[in-house]
Amino acid sequence: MSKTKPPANPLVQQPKRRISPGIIVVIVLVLALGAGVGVQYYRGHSKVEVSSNGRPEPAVVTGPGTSGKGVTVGQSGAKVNIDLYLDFRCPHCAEFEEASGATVDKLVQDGTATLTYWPLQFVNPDASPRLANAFAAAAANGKALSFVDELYGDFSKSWTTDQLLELGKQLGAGGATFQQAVQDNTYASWLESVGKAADDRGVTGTPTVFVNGKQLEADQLTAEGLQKAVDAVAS
Amino acid sequence: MKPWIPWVSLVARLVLGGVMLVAGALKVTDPETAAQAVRAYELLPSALVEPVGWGLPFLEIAIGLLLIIGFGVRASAVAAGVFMIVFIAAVSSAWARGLSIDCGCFGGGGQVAPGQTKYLQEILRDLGLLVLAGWLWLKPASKFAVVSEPNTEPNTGPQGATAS
Repeated sequence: MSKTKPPANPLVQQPKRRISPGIIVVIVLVLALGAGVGVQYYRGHSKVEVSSNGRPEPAVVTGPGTSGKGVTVGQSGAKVNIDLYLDFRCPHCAEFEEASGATVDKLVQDGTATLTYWPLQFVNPDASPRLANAFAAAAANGKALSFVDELYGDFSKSWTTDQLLELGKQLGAGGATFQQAVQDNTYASWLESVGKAADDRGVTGTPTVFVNGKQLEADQLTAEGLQKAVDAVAS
Repeated sequence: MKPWIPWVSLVARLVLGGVMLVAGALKVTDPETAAQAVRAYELLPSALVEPVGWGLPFLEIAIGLLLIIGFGVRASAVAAGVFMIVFIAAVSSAWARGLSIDCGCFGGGGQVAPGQTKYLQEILRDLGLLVLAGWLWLKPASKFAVVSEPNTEPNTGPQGATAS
């Protein structure tokens, strides 16, 4: 059979001993997907750690549940009102929060402005409604602003229901009413009314910001742009 | 084999692998945004959007690394080529359906203003990368690869162990 085969050159690696690189490439790709699954698992099971910076929590002026009205926080009687249309799974909202969150917090804290959250639920059809409902439940327990901070602060977390319940507990809003509201999706119909109010106002995307009824342009959605718009109204 | 071919293959490996690696690395840290970019194409059912959103970057990184180190170049090039064909098809379909989205190739993605689409550039870029993948499929043997391709190894054959 192999009588005619020339003697093997000992200096050349025998190709037969190799596993085909193609198979190893496939194995590497499967392992890579496995790493992806692992990270995905981690996103849904990572520990909730409140990064709280000790900022005081503004009072909730208008809680969730009033049909067609957002959640307003701050000191009633402020000259300026900021309307913020947001979605908790919207990447640009997370960026906006990161860039201008401190500015908004300061304006609310010193009584310059009240802030109205209009939680929408269209970006991620699975997660957005769940997170918006949990936000409403937290707001009903007086923890609107810090709940928003935490959700956006760890945007890559999956925020499963368990993680939301844990967050509520750590923020001090996690009583029985909060847990029940999160699990029963209590605020679904209110959220729909908020969505409808946003449609009626012509809000087509998030984040959308109004300062005393005047919509900010896309290039004004920065800490500076927001501050200027508020100053223009307040002075 | 002409002496310049392995050098061209090296450049093709580094460019294609580098783009894949960068594209994957930019998306892997932000799975929520990546899923949103996939969703914007309106091609996949919602149950598949999330797994594709977070799984794709890992595959891109793996293929990119394999190409850069030069392991299993022919198979990796085929995988990269399949990805490019899928990307070109997806971007073309978004264009044809009149969607206004960013391809989300390097992070970001989602809706953009109607005048802000870059479909032609995106397709041309992916076509260029597809050409590189095709080249590597034909000529996988290259300089500075950790594992030479079997059967295409320039040193195997009659000349055996001659130094190169």
